[in-house]
Amino acid sequence: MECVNVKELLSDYIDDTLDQETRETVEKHLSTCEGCAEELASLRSLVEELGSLEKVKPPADFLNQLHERLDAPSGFTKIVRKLFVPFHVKIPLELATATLLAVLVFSVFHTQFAEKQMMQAPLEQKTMESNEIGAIKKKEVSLKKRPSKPKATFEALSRIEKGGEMDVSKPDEGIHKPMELTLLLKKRGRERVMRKPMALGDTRTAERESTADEEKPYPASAGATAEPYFTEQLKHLIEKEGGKVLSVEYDSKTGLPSTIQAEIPANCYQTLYDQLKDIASSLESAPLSPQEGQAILPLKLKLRYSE
Amino acid sequence: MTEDDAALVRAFQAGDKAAFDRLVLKHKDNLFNLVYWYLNDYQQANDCAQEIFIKVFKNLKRFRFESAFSTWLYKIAVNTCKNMLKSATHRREKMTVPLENPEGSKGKNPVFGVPDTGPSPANGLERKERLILIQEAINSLPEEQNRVVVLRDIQGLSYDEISEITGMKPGTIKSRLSRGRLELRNRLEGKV
Repeated sequence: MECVNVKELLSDYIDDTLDQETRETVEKHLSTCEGCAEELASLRSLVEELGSLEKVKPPADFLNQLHERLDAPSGFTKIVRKLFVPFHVKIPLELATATLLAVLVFSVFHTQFAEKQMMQAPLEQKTMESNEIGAIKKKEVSLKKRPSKPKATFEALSRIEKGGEMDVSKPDEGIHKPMELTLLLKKRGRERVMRKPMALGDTRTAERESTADEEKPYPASAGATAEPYFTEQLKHLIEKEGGKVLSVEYDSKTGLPSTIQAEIPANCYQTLYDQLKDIASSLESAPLSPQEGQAILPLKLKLRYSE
Repeated sequence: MTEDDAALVRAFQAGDKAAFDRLVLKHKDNLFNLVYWYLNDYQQANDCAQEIFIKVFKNLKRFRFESAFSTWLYKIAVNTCKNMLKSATHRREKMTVPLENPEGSKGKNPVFGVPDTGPSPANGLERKERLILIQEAINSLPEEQNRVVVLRDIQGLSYDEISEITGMKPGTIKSRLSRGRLELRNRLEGKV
């Protein structure tokens, strides 16, 4: 066995972990090789020296230190103590902080809500507000009126969805703008309407009509088609309620009346509406009320026809 | 496992907290010595040793007696030391603590050192210097050799115990120990 191989085995030889045969081979080599024998001696000395080193001892109060660390509060307990102890100092402070935070949060949300309302205001009003210095009052008025608008629109839409033949929509806010009523008329309805004045008109007129033109459609001077009769009928109803017809527009394609502009006393609107409802024959819900304090109510009757 | 250790562990598991103190008192010196040779810093060794016993305290109820208590304790110790050596804190604070006063600035009497066996103070000083050299030489060894040399030659553990603690095979332990010893001998050769 070579010296290199023996030197690799010296550590195991010292620890006596070599098998018998290898051990004998190493011993035989060591007995003849002075260098390897010296190597063994120095290694054995080192191992013995390391084994005889005095142990480093812990501090005398090691166990006490350990108890202190074992008894030390956990991280959670430390946090609780930091937050709530002593109670008479920290809880009032925490309450004051919470109140301040609540006030701050409320003020922030309040400001945002106001800005949101501004964003939802009609563009027209916004323009006015931006152009006019005294727009604050108008803004307040518009904000008060605003809730009625979506309600009216909703009611009108719901009527359409229900299949109603008469659609009532309120013009956008303006007091002087006419109230629009859309009347969808069927032929049957029109035929029935032509006879309706007997029931709708006052008693004297009804009697006169029944004696003079019992077999004729109302009015006696009407043409061959029903639509002019219907126009006259509407004029009659409006005038009967103290109003007047301002203009009649005709559709250029069909030649039929399409729009009637009129105005009536506001307090007579309900009566007229009921009569129109009979003409349209399918109006189910109540009409929108005119503006409070309005004496004369402009009307715009849109006439639509169906087979 | 010695009967004493097993009995103490069972007593602790049965609710006897004092049994843990007796285990600490029994093993603290060996454990501390091991940790000190690994970390090479007395204060850090103290912190680390306490940390190890805290881990033991927290896990002792789950100890299944599948190995000796001392082996389990050393296993925890080796892993804790390894983690501490990896930590940036240790690398930053690592320093060579003089063997004559390993407690550093605390000013306490040295608990580690060379017994004054000779009549001459110079003899004691030489031995202390020799120990410092040994300490530096061991700490300069590659980590895998350092572990094995400390466990085998300083702590006096058997190959089987080392294998169980470190997870290394006996063959690996032998070769690393052989290389470590030769390397150590070469580094100390001609010094003091």
